[in-house]
Amino acid sequence: MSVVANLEPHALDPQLELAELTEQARGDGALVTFVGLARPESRNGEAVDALVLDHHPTLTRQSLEDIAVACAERFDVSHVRVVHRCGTIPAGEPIVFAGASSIHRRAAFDAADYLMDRLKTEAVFWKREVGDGGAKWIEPTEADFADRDRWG
Amino acid sequence: MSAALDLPVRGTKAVDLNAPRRDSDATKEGRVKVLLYGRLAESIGRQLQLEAAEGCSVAELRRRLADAHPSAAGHLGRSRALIGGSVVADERRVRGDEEVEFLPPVSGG
Repeated sequence: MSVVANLEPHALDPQLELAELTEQARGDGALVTFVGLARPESRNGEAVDALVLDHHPTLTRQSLEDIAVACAERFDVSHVRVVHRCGTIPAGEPIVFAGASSIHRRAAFDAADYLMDRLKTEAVFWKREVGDGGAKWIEPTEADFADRDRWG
Repeated sequence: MSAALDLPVRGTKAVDLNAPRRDSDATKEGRVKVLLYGRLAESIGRQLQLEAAEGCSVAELRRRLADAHPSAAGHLGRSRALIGGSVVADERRVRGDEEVEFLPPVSGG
């Protein structure tokens, strides 16, 4: 069992994260990963050049770890890995990697789903979309909270 | 482009808000360091020093910031206050050597 929860201020390489998780997952039968990308368009259809994620010096990483540990305790998984960017993320670039491995596939699927539902609503970030129209602060949607609440 | 995208942090600054003292037992005045995040950092600054009576409450700091920055009052009202990394109630008294953080509701990742 291992739990990795990293806050990455520079660049997130999903291939590298996948390679490390795959190496850890020897002996498992399933590995499920999710990579979130900074969208080039807002919900209102406006062009977005970048996301800017403000973070807290200690609580942000702690929130990632809390979510990853809760995931590892809740599901029958062997390894959990969460890596999240902070700072300025140009549109199209990876913003989050969430993955889990398990002996059978269902636990890994559920774990990755759970990780993202909680990260989207509870990770300690303050997020802005920046584009030609200026900057706009982003908050979780009702759908995001409904997704999280599926897990009780 | 990247410089323009950085959160506008205004750095440390002293703010003398000159609000009337409500702590009748306050005899000393000091500077309380306040740290702000998200919308609050954008509209007020990342950190500042507030002139405050020794033992003033978190509520008083929150009220003074709101008075000095009316556009941020709503977000201040919805923000959690932390001292030493732990959430504290508005009644909590602040020592001069403590830092108070105000965290608006998070965006999530």
